[in-house]
Amino acid sequence: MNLAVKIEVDTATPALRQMLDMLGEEGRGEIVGAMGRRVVRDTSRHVSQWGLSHPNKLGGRRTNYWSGIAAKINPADTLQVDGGTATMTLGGPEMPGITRAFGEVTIVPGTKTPGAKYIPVPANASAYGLRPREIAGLVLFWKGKGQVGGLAQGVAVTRTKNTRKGPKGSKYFRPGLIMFWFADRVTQPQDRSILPSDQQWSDSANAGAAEWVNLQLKKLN
Amino acid sequence: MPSLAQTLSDARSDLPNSLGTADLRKLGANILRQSIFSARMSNATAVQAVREAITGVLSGVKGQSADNVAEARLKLKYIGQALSYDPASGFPGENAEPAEAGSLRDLFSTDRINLILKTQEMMTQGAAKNIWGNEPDALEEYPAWELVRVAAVEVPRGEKRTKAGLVDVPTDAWDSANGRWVAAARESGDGDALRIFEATGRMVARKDSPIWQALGDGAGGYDDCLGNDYEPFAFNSGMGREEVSAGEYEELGGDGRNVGQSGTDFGPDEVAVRKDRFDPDILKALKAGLESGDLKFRVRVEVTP
Repeated sequence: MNLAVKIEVDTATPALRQMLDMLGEEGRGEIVGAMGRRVVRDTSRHVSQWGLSHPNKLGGRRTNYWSGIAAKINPADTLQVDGGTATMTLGGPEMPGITRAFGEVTIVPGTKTPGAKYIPVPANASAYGLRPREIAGLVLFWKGKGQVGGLAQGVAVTRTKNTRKGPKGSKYFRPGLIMFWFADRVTQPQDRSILPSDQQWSDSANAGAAEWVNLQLKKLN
Repeated sequence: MPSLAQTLSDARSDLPNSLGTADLRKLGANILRQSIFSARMSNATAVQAVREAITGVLSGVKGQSADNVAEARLKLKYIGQALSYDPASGFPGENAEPAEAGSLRDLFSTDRINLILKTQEMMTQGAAKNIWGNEPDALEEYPAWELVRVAAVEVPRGEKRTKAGLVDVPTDAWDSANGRWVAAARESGDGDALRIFEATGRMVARKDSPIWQALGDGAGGYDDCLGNDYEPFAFNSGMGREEVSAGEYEELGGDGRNVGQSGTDFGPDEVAVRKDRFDPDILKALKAGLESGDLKFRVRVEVTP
């Protein structure tokens, strides 16, 4: 999914369009460029702040995922100015997750790791930002008959009697602190607040336009 | 088309080395800026793997979506195992200084790889920012940067973890009265930056101010800096820059006219600001209309699958 935020001179009010026509092609390009740049800057700032204000639910280590996304929202990579239109394009493989602003995102196992059947969901703050393979001594636990529940820290136990699985005195690991739940899919709900609202985008664009005009006037003084 | 940051990353050379952080710094910021490296990572294959991991984080690679640091880290750990890296002795035949397994000195520990990837990612994006932020239009419309927190860190500068818990260390903070920003402003002679900070608490300076290089050079005696005039300025700082528009800068009392390019190797050599291109009457009418709200641009949002 891609998201395009377009600032178009053609859709401006007739009075504005007339004035912009009088500025000529160069002026139109510059003013929408300035507006687009402001929209990009404010969007990047918004995403960065959104990330800072949304710590992991369990309070685990921060991966600063959104600061990486915010850095990618920059004029060089996301803004295109073509005649009277400035377009900021977000999404695509470089910004996974950002289009969650416009619809829920479902993650299924096996997309990135072929053969994977489950998605490990951190159950403990210390598991955040880690892959299960990075934590030593995890054991599977079951949540019901034949249903894998997830991974827990293994606790060493000595058998006190002979069983089918081993003789008395032998050791085995039973599940202790649960580190990951296994999910067959994870759906992240839509959250429009990841990105600025349409009104905020409009305000940014118009603030950019006003400032560009002021700048040009100042140059004349 | 690769992003600007990815293009910059691709242009950098691998720099396998057995040097510590302090010795690496002696090589000079120019060499480090153009290299992919990590202190004491002497194995060329490992450095190549770091390069691929950075590419994975910046742009995504097969089997890994962009910004998936965990997946990139796991791949690097596999490489470490494949190269028979041992924190106690380094790479085979290297006889390196022993490192505690899992510590920052362990080249393939979670914390070390996180630090490498995040630092390199931020440095690459920061270098790219110095290019797009130095375009003529950008300098004219956004003449200043503001230093802000962009990423969360466990112990921010200005705090220190002790047995008794976190304690304040104001001299190490970015934004304290005797911290890094003030030291850099004084050492670089940027009186405007100092005045704006004292009046508003905001760390704002012209893009061409020497304060940015001073921050990266550790002005005030800080030895954890990276030598660059762009983020993250110091290891694991979580700090970055945002553009400040001409109007905003003026409101803060700054003078954003005739800002030149910043002092790195990137960007144009000279920036010329053109004048007198538009009819002042039209500009005045536009200004009045936009300010009164009579004139308004519309923004269209399109979502395409």
